[in-house]
Amino acid sequence: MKTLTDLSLIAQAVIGHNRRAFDTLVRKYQSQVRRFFLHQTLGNEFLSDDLAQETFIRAWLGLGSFRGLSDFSTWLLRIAYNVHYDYLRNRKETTGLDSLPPGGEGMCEQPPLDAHVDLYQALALLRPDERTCMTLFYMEDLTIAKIASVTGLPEGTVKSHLSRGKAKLSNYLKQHGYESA
Amino acid sequence: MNQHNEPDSVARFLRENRREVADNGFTEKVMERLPRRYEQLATLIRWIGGAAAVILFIILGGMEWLVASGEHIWHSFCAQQWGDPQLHAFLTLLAGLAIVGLSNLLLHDDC
Repeated sequence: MKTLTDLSLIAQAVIGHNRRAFDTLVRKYQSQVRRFFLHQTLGNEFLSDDLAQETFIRAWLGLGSFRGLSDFSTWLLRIAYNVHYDYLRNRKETTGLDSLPPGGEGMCEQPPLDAHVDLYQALALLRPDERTCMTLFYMEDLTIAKIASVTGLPEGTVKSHLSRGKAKLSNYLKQHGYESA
Repeated sequence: MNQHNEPDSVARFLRENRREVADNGFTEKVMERLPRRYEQLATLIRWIGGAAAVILFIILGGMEWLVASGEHIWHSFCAQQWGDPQLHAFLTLLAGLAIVGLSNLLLHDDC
């Protein structure tokens, strides 16, 4: 039913140029997309919202190319991943590799709650692709196949990133006394 | 528990920190930024239409008509107000000098 509703909204937006239908889609998926960017940017809300807006604009412009072979959310996350990748590439071109902080693109500019400080500090330990795979797998409940579809990485590479990411985070959590279940 | 029912601290930690992001006007901002589907085409049509109107205006003698109409209005105005044909010429000259003087003033201001 969820897929049928999304397809119906997409059809209305594409065929009928119905902006209200797209508005509904944005409201439905804005949380997931913005959360994705918050994780990739380590809590930078302004940057996340900018990137998320860019994602939805690209989605609007490319809506006619959505074939329904995957979930709309997966398709949207693929766009989000590419938007983030373009942002990183542009940043590297303008600032140079040496100026990038190890394992992260920037620190929080907002004073988040304690839990989020720990989360972003933990995520900062990971390389960008490791962070993407870990957050998509554990926080967005995507399968390895879907993560591979979103990122364009082979499934074996996704598994490697998950394995390394999990090891780093596990070590971090032990060091900070986080109790396992 | 993760997708494979394996309890682990990493999965639990990440899931505990998963949060929903409130809209807070985000969707409105996105919708405002969305390009209108035929915006570029509409702009192009406006420019082409405007250029075509100007060209046709010139080709069909619109400039001559404009100048003649302007002269007629000016002479009618002067005749109505003062009724002296020689004064028309004087006032026209005065207006022309005022325009030249103002232009020179503006030029000197730039220096």
